Amino acid sequence: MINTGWIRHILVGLDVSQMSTAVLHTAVRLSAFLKADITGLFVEDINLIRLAELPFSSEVRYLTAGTRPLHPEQIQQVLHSHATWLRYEFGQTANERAVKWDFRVARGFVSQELLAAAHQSDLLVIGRLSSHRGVHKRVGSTALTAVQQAATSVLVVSPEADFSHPVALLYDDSTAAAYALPIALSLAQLSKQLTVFIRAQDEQEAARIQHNLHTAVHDTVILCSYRRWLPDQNLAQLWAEQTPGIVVLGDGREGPATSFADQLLHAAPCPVLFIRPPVVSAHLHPA
Amino acid sequence: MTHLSLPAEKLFTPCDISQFDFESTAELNEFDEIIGQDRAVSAIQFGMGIRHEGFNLFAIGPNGTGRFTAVHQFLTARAPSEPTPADWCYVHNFDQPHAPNALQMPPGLAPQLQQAMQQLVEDLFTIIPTAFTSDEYQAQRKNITAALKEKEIQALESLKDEADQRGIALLQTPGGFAFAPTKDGNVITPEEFLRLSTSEQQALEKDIKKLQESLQKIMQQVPQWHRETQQRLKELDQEIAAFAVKPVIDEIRPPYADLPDVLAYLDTVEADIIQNVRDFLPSEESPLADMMSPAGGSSRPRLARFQVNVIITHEPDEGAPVVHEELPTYPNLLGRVEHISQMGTLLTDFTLIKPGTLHKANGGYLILDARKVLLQPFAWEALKQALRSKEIRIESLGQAYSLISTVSLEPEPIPLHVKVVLIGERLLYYLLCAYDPDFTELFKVAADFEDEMPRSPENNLAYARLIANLVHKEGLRNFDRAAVGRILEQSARLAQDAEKLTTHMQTVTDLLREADYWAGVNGRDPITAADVEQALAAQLQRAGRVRERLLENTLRETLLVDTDGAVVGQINGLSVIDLGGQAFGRPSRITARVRLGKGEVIDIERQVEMGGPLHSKGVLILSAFLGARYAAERPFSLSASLVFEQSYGGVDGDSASSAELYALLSALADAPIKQGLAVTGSVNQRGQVQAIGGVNEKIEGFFDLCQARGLTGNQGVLIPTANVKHLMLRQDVVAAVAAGQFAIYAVSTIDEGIELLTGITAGELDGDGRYPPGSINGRVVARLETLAAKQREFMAPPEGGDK
Repeated sequence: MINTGWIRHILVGLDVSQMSTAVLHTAVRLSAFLKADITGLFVEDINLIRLAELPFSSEVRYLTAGTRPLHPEQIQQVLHSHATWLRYEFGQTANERAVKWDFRVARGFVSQELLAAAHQSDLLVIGRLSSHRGVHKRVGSTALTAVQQAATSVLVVSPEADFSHPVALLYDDSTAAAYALPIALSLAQLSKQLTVFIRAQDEQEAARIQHNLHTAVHDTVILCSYRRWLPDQNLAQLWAEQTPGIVVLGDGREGPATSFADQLLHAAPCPVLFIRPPVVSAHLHPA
Repeated sequence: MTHLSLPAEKLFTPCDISQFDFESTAELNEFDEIIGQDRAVSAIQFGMGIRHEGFNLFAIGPNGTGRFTAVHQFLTARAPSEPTPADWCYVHNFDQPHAPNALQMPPGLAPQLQQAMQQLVEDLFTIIPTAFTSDEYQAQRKNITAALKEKEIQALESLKDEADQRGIALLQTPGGFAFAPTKDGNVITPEEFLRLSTSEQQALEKDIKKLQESLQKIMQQVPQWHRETQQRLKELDQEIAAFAVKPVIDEIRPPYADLPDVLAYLDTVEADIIQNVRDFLPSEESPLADMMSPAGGSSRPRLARFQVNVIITHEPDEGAPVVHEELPTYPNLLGRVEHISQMGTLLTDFTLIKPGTLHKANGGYLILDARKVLLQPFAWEALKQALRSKEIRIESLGQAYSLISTVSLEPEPIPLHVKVVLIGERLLYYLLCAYDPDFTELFKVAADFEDEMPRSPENNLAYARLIANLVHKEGLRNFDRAAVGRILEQSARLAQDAEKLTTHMQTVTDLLREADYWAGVNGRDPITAADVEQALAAQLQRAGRVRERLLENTLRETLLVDTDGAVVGQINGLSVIDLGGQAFGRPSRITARVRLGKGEVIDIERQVEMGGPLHSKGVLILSAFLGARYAAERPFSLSASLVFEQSYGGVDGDSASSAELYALLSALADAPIKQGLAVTGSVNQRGQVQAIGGVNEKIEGFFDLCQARGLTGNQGVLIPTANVKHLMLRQDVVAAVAAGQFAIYAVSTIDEGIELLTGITAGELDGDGRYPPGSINGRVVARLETLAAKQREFMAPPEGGDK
C-alpha cells in the first residue's frame, strides 16, 4: 500500500470569515499529521479594489442598513489589516503545532490566485463558504471552482469538522482511490473507525474489492466496515446512520462533474477531501 | 439569771431518724415531685395552662432552689401530650429575591419537600437535556432556523439574480454589501466605466441605486426576522420544557395538596424552570460566575434558588418543643442570615438563613435565664418585640443599626406562638416590674420559689426521697438512715432555722457528692453520718484560712478581745463574715466612752464613713432609747462615743446595737461588763432585744475563741430569745453547754442583758418614778443628774460677774 508521504506541501486559502478559522485550524492540524509544510494565502480581492475605485461606489452596511461611500484607500487599509491579522493568527497556530509555515499575500481574482498557487502544492485546503454574510449557500463558488479546476488534491472544510467521528472513504478501486485509502487510514487514527463505501458494478466486484481492502488494512488497528455505494444512491443516505468526521474520496485528474461535486459537498455535513494522485510519481504508484 | 441560760437540747434540733422506715436510700422509690414549692408549682401550672396573650412566666427565687428543674420537669411532662407545631422552611422568592418566602407545613413534611426539590433538580439535569437532544426538538429547531436562513437567502438570491440580469454583481465588502457593474463576471475597472457613454453610466448608476434600495429594505427586515425566529425558538424551548417539567413537578404535589402556599410555590418553580430552561442544559460556565456565587464550589450555582432551607422540622408525634437557650444572644434568639466572603465581597441568599431559639421553641416553650437575656445586647428588646408582635422577624443587627452596608435579606416573618419562661432572682423581677413598662404586660405570671420549707415529718420523708432521687441521678452511693438524718440537720442549719429545711438543693447536692467522695475514701457503702460529717468538716477546713488567721491573731492578742475579767464600757460584739460559700462568726471589741456634752451619741464608724446605714440606724435607736428612758424630763447632758475597735473593713447591720447599748450603760453606770460573755441582738426604742441573722455562726465564732483559750464555765453568749428557734449549733458547742463549760442566754430585754453582763440588778421604777439606787438604771440616772448639774454649773454666770 502506498503511504502518505507524497503530500509534502499544503496550501490553505484564508480570509477573515468565521469559516476561515476552522479552515486554518484544520489545515494546520492536517499539516502536522502528514508532516507537510504549509503556506497560508490571503488574496486581496481585485473586485473589491475596483469597486472602491468606481466613482459612485457605496456599500449598504450590515448593522444599520444605511449606505456609505467606499474609498480605495479605505479598502486597501482594511485588506492590509486583514493580511496582518491573518499572518499573526496563522503563524501562532502553526507554531503551536511545530509546523513549518509560510504566509503570502496576493492580489487578483480569488479563485484564479488560489488555483495558481495550488499548482505549487500537493493539497489545497479551502473553506466551504466564503464570508458572504446573509448569502448562505451550502457551497461557495470559490470552493466549487477549486474542486473542479485544481490540479492538486482539495480539502473542503466545513465548520462541523469532528475528527473523532469515523472516517468515510468513497472507494471505487481506481488509482486515485488507492491514493485515498492510506490518507483515510491515516486520518482514522483518531476515531479508529473507517467506513468504506464501495462503488462497484455488481456484488461480485464489490466482494473482490472488499477482499482486497480487507487484506490491505488487516494489519492496522483501524476497525473497518464496508457498505455498498450504489450508482443511483442519494449520497446523503450514505451517512444517514452516523455523521462521519471527514469524507475522503479518490478523484481522477479530470476532476468530478460539477453536479457530483456540488451534490457531494451538499450531502456531506463534514469536510470532504478530494485526493488526486501526484502528476509523476512512478515510485509511489500503487503496486 | 440562770433561768435565761438555754439547756443543751435547745441548741440543736436533731433529726429523729426513727420516723424513717428505711435503712438506706436504696429502699426509696424514684421521686420526681417538686417539694416545698407548692406556690411556685401552682403558678407554673397556671402560667403554662392559660393560653392568653402575655401570660408568660417568670420563675423567681435564689439560685439553686430548683427553679429550672421544676420548670423543665413540669414542661417535659406536659409538652409531649400537646400538638406538634408545624414545620417551617424558607424558599426563594422569584419576584423579590431579597425577601425569601416562609412556608408552613405539617410536621415532617418540610424535609420531604427539601428532598423532593433536590431530586427534582437532579432529575431535570437528565430530563431536560434528553428532551432538548431529541430528534423531534432538533428537527423543529432546525426547521425554524432554516426557515430564517431560507428567507434571507431567498431575498438576497432574488436580488442577486435581478442584479445579474442587469450585469451587476453583489459583492461583500468589509462592512456590508455593495453593487458593482461587471464584465465577464468581474467588476469593471474605473477606466472601463469611464469609457461608457454618459447615458450608460447614468443607467448603471440608476440601476445600482435601485438595487441598493431593495437591499436596504431586505436588510432592515433581517433584524425583525431574527427576533421572530428567536421568539419562535424560545416558544419551542418553553413548549418542550413544559412538556418535560410538568409531570415531574406534578409528582411532588400530592402530599401538599391541602397547602395552597406550597402549591403556589411549586407553580412558580415550574414557571421559572420553563422560563430559564437553558440553566439545565450543558454550557460552559464562566469560572468567575462560579466564584461569585454564595453556593461556593457548587457547579450549578444559579440552581440554589430551587433549594428548600428547612428552618424547623418536627417528628409528627413528638409534641410541643421545650427549648432551653444557654446563650440567649440576639442572633441565637431570633436567627440570623449568614454571609459567605468571596473575592472580598459578602454574599448571601435564603439558603444561609439560620433559625434562632424562638424558631425552635415556636409552638412550645422556651426557657431563658433572665439575667443572661438582659446582659446580651439587644436580646431583651428583641424578645419583647417578638412576643408583642407575635412573629419572628430575622434582621441583622448591622442592618438594623446601619452599621454595615452589605446587601442582606429580609426573610418573611414567621408567626410566633410560644410560652416563654424566664428564670431569675427576685431583685431582677422587682426591678423589671418597676422600670420596664412592657414587662408586666408580657410576663403576667410569677412563680415565686421558696428558700425554705417547714421541717415537718412529711417534708422530712419527702426530702429523704429527694435525696434518693439525687443519688440515683448522680450515680452516688446510697445514704443510710443516719446519713439522711444528718443531711436533714445540715439542711436546717443552711435554712438558718431549726424548724425549716432549705430548698437550696444545689448546696445539698454538693454535700451529697462530697459525702459520697469521703465514703469512697473511707471504703464505706452505704454512706454514713460520719461521711457526711467529714464532708462538712472538710468544707470548713477548705474555706477556713481567713477564719483561722483571725482566730490566731486574736489569740496572739494582735486583735484585742478579752474572754475573762470585767471592764467598764467594753463588751464583746459578734459579727458574721461571709466569704463566698462559707460564713463564720467573729468576736469584736466594742467600747463606749461618756463625757459632759449636749446629749449626743457619736457613732465613730459613721463619722469616718465606715458604718453602713443599718448600723447608724441601730445607734440612733439606742440613743432614742437612752433619751426616752433616762432623760425624758431632765437634761441629757452627755456626749457618748461608740466604736468597733480594730475594725478596718466597715460595719453594717444592727445586730450589734444591743451590745453597743450595754457598753454605753456600763460606761454611764460605771459597772464593769463580764468579758467572758459576748452579745448579739438588735434593740428597739423600748429596750426590747430583737432577732438577728447568723446566730449559729456568731455563737460558734466566740466559742472557738473561748475554747482555744480554755473554757472556764463563765463564758457564754447572749442571744435574742427570738433567735432560739434558729439554733442548730455544732455538736462541740452543744457538748460544752451540756457540760456546763459554756452558756447560751436568751434575753428579751436590755434589762435582762445588762444584769447578766454586770451581775447588777437593772432596777425598776418605783411608785415615785425613781430607780433603786445601786441598780444599773439608778446609777445611770445618778450619773446623768451629776452631768446635768455640772453642765448647769458651767452654764451659770460667774459669781459677781454681773456686778
